[in-house]
Amino acid sequence: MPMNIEELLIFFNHLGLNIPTKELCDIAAAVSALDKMKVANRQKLKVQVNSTDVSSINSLKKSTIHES
Amino acid sequence: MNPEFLTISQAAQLIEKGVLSPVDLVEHCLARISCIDSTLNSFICLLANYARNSARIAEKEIKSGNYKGALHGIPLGLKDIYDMAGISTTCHSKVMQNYIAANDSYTVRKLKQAGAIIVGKLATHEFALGGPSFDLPWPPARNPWDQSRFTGGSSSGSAAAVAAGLVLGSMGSDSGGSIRTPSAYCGITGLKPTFGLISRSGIVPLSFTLDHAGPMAWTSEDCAILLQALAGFDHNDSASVNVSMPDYRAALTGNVRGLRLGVIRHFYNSDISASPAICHAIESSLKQFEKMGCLVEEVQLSPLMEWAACGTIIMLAEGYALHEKRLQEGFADYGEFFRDRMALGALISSADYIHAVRKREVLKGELHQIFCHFDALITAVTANEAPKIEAVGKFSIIEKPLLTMPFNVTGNPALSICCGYSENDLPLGMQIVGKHFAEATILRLADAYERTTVWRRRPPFKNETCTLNDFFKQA
Repeated sequence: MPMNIEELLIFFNHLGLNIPTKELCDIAAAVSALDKMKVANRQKLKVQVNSTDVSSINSLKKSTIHES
Repeated sequence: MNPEFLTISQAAQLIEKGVLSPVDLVEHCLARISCIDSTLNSFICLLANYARNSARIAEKEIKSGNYKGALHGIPLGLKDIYDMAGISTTCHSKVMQNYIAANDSYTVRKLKQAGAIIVGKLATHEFALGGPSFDLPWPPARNPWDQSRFTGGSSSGSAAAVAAGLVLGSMGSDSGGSIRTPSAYCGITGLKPTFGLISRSGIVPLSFTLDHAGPMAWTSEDCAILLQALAGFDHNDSASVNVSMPDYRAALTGNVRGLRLGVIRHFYNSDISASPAICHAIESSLKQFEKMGCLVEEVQLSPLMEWAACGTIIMLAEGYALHEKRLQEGFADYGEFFRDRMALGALISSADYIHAVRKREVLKGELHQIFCHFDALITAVTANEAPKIEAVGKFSIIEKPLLTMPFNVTGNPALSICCGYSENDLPLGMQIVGKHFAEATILRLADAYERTTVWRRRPPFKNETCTLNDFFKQA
């Protein structure tokens, strides 16, 4: 995720959002709070990913290697 | 109760008996609006002629023996995201100020069928998210208890108008607390029903999976009356659920003996720190519930931040998806609070959104388990009394987790009721949360509480100079 003003400027320009510089600074200051929320959502799911999803991905990989 | 401050239930009794005329009641509201609302800004669009005509029709119907029920002849207001045929739906935004709705929303249709009289469209945060804003075509609504204070949002005008007695009830919407927060700050009762119980068709959306439509009024009995008219299946809302409806008002028996209440103290005691006044008000309320025969026990859920993070990411992402095109076409057409909050939505990737959606299922499961042991949960609505309106930050919704968001994430019904006043004489709110579709239970608890405490006897404007006689003189 873009974190500083320059990165945000490029990112939003790419999306076609014409955001004034002063507001970009405000948004940049809020990005870390948003990031904390994203991290909070991912952390709770890590256990599930490690126990289920990753194992199924590993078995899939094995079978793929086998076939090749 | 102040005689000038009738509840829906009280007015309905008088109307049914022929003691109060809907025409006089509407004139009373219109006069009160003209007297007070220039300081509150709760109305965006006043439908005075429409209301007067509707009142005359209602009066004729009632006199000819065609009384439709407790909403017949009752003046109500609509958050200005609800469509009403032939009337503008502005969403409190420059972007929508020329939009005229072609049809009634499902909820407006139901209210009209019940004989209610729509007096006008009420202020909101821009598109139910951006506010309080001072750069929009209309000013933000002010809190009737202290006009320098925030009403809470986004159903800001809906709460202010009911608290000030300008209408007897209103419609709000709630995607993260937008019915319950303004209800708490303005000292009224607000119900976010179970997801799917009230149709959202014809209401401008913010977040498809978090938006709830719901009633706001002075008492929980009035919310029950409104809910009875509003709930029901509508094929035009994909989230609408076809369930059998109880008689919500009949459920208000006053008997709450044996109900098991779980208190989520850590949400407001340690996850965030609520003011001592709010903690004290909730503790006193719990004692009152115990006195009435409820069994109270503390419960532990995942930290508030986890619930708030899940809901906020979903809300911003879904909101951005709705507004992306218009933000690209004219970013400056929106107010600063709305457009910058939406810009955060642009920073949420599909992976971020999917993680939040998966997390939501985990959290829903957690609350479902808790409800195996309890009939209702109690927690705070806000951490503090209403702040000064200028003190509300642009990114307040992500800086501090919202105490209301967990129940948007899970879709459980949640009610905000007044549970006391702060040292500054501002109302304080308490949240009662129920099992899915158990609105009757939380309304029963809230009604029993309201009837055995003094908080509903105290409207704002203690030193009000505008009396009923003045209103009629002006009218």
